[in-house]
Amino acid sequence: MSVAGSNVAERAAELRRDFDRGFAEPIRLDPVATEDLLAIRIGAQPYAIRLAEITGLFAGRKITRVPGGHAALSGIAGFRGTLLPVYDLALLLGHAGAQAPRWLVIAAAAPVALAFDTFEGQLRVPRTDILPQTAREDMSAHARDVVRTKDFVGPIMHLPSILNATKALRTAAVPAEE
Amino acid sequence: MAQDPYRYFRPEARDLVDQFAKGVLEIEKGDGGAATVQRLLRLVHTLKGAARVVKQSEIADRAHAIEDTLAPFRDAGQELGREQIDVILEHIDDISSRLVTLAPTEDAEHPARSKASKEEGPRTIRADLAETDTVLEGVAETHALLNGLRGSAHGLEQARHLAELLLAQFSPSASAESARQSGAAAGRRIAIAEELCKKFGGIERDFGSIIDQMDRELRQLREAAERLRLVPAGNLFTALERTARDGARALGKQVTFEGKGSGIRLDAQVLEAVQGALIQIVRNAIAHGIESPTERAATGKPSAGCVTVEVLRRGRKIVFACRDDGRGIDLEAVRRIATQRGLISPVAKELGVQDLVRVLLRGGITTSQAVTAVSGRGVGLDVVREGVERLGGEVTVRTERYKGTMFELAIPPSLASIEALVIEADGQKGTTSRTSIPIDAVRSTLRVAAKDISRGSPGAAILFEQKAIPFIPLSVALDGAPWSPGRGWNAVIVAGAGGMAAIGVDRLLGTARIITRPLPERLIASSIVVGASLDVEGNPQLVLDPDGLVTAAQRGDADRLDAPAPVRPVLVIDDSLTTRMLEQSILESAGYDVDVANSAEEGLEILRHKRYGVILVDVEMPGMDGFSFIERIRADAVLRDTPAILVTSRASAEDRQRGRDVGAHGHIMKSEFDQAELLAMIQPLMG
Repeated sequence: MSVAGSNVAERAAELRRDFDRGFAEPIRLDPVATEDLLAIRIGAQPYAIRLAEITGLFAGRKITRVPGGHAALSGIAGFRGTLLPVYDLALLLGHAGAQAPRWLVIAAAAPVALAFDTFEGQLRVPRTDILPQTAREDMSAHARDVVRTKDFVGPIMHLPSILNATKALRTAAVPAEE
Repeated sequence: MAQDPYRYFRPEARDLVDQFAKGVLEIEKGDGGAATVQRLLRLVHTLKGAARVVKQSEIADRAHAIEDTLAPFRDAGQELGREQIDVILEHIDDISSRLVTLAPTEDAEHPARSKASKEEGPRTIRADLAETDTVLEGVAETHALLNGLRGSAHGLEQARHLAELLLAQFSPSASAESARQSGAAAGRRIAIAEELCKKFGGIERDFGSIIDQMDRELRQLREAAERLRLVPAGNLFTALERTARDGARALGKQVTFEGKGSGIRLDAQVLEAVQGALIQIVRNAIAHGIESPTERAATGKPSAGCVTVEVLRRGRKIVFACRDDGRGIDLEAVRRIATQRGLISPVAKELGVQDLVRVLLRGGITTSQAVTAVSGRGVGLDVVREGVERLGGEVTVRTERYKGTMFELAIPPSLASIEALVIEADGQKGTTSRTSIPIDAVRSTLRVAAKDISRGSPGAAILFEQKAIPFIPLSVALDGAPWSPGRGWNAVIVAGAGGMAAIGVDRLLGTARIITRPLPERLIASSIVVGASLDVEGNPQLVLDPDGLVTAAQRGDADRLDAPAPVRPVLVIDDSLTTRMLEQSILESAGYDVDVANSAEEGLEILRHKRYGVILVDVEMPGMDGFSFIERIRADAVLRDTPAILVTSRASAEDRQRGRDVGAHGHIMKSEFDQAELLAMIQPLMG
């Protein structure tokens, strides 16, 4: 409403026009599509995780070790009365394992929790700042895109391939005594 | 859900009908007298009243008819005859089927739940599973939050201490500066600080007491909610007994039914799913197994056949065993019919008992001479097998001609309530593991001195009841922690399928009723773990498998792990996540410690800090390749003797020669990857 009318009828008419115009105009799309990410760190390496690919972020959950499991299996943890396997992201990604990773995310696509050392924060970045991975072919299996912003530069984890790796661990590993 | 007027009536009526049916069968067996008749009259009267309230006149009329039939037998002296019992059971069946139709047809709020209950058919338990789960989850989560609040209470305590310090600072006697301050202002500050201390103290007390109360309440609530989720296995028996009775009546046979293990509480969904299979098996036992009274008498058997259903826990499985003392399965007839129908090859004469049983379980075969209301159509056993397999279980059958048949359905339960002994073991690096063992496997607990533990092959042992039984410290079984032979232990004597074993623990914490849950799907774990329970904070606590513990003790893991060979770890370098994981998994399963690197450069960095027994290295990697990597380590004064094996998809003679030239100790083809070959190649190199 740009001009305040001097009488009530004029003002009401203007309000009506504004209201009608609001419906008549096409829906304006956000000109800059964005993506929400979690910024984390594994050892010294920064990574990002797509927020849409996880259902929760937890800190300080107790992880119960399970004997006979794969080295990358940190153990199991309880979430709302359900037991989930917890895998050490560092080991899955080929880094040295963390002593006791404090943070956990639960994947949306499978009942699996992934543990890591440091949670840096949440990012909302324009899609244009996300580039397909080309420079670091060695990481292509689990990081297919890279996010480059003023504050953060790092690969985005490809959660489906990480979940596939955990699935492979569950089916390929043979316990020593069986 | 105000739109469902029968929400409360349904479970109440089902419970009444179930109790009633059980009572009628007691009377038929001669176990009940006038007192039972009176109890039944009370039950049916309650049912009639409840049905009238919800305007279910047909049910009320049926209940009334039952009352009329029962009333003359209220007083001692006259017993209900078979005819009256049949009439009563007919009414009960009618009421049961009407109750099924009262299930909500459309549940707008919970369409998924409505679909589930339709698929599962009539339910035999009172609680709505989805709602019970919601309660359980809520309780577990609230309890976890409460424990978080405890941390805040501790913060409050610290705040009070700070206020006390502040007060001490203001106190004229404690501070010369304060003493110099003029009276009024200082006095006010002191009064404020005193008030602050008092307030903090009060809040802290209230907070602590409320937290304690909530903790108690939540514990009770959680136990109650868990009980709702689980139902006694004995709930199955009424329907099975009824099946046996009706089958026997229809075929002119005499049968006694016995249910054992009724106290085991199991996930209601498992019980419901298994009920159908058991009904089929009992029906078959009556139709095909149990002989007519004349035939039994001729073979020296009591005229009444016996069908027993036992529910028991065996390792990770719940076993439902149905035995009969009938004529056994005529396997020759099965062979003949299966051959006639082309289900097996005519030349398959060598098929053994278990093979023929498998054919029988595939369905389509009946050895019955005639189709009756009870069975004989050749369907049924395939339904049993399919039902059990859907639950992830398995069916085994043992049969002996003229002696009887036993069907065993072994099901992995999703939840089970068990009494357990809670124990603690101190692990490496100051960690403590709290776990539990099902109490029914615990024979005894005792204190074992160091001198009572003998060492030999294959492992350690102690004397228990004048017999040597294997001994293993729990910390060794759980994480291979080294143990000192010079110390004593609290020993838990555990009986498993393979015998007895003594498990050394650091602390016995007492018994508790726990709810065991299976480990997450397909998780690979040691066979000593049967599942896990959740503690009051919602954290998992492992539940140990007595059979697995006994096996671990018998294998002599204690001795193997007591003196580990000084084997160096293996370094796996590969840019492929899958290959890294596969190799790591194989090597760790074989007992090696493994580190991984995803590039040759990272491998070299790791090697600067740690020595390895063997290095497995990929050839084709971005950056430095495997050949160059080996050349680099051969040129290094410290690393030059570390054996390296190439794992590659490059297999030409030229590649192999190049590998040898740079100093590789072996060459494994990825396309022909073989676990045994890998281990065989590594073992000699580890020295």
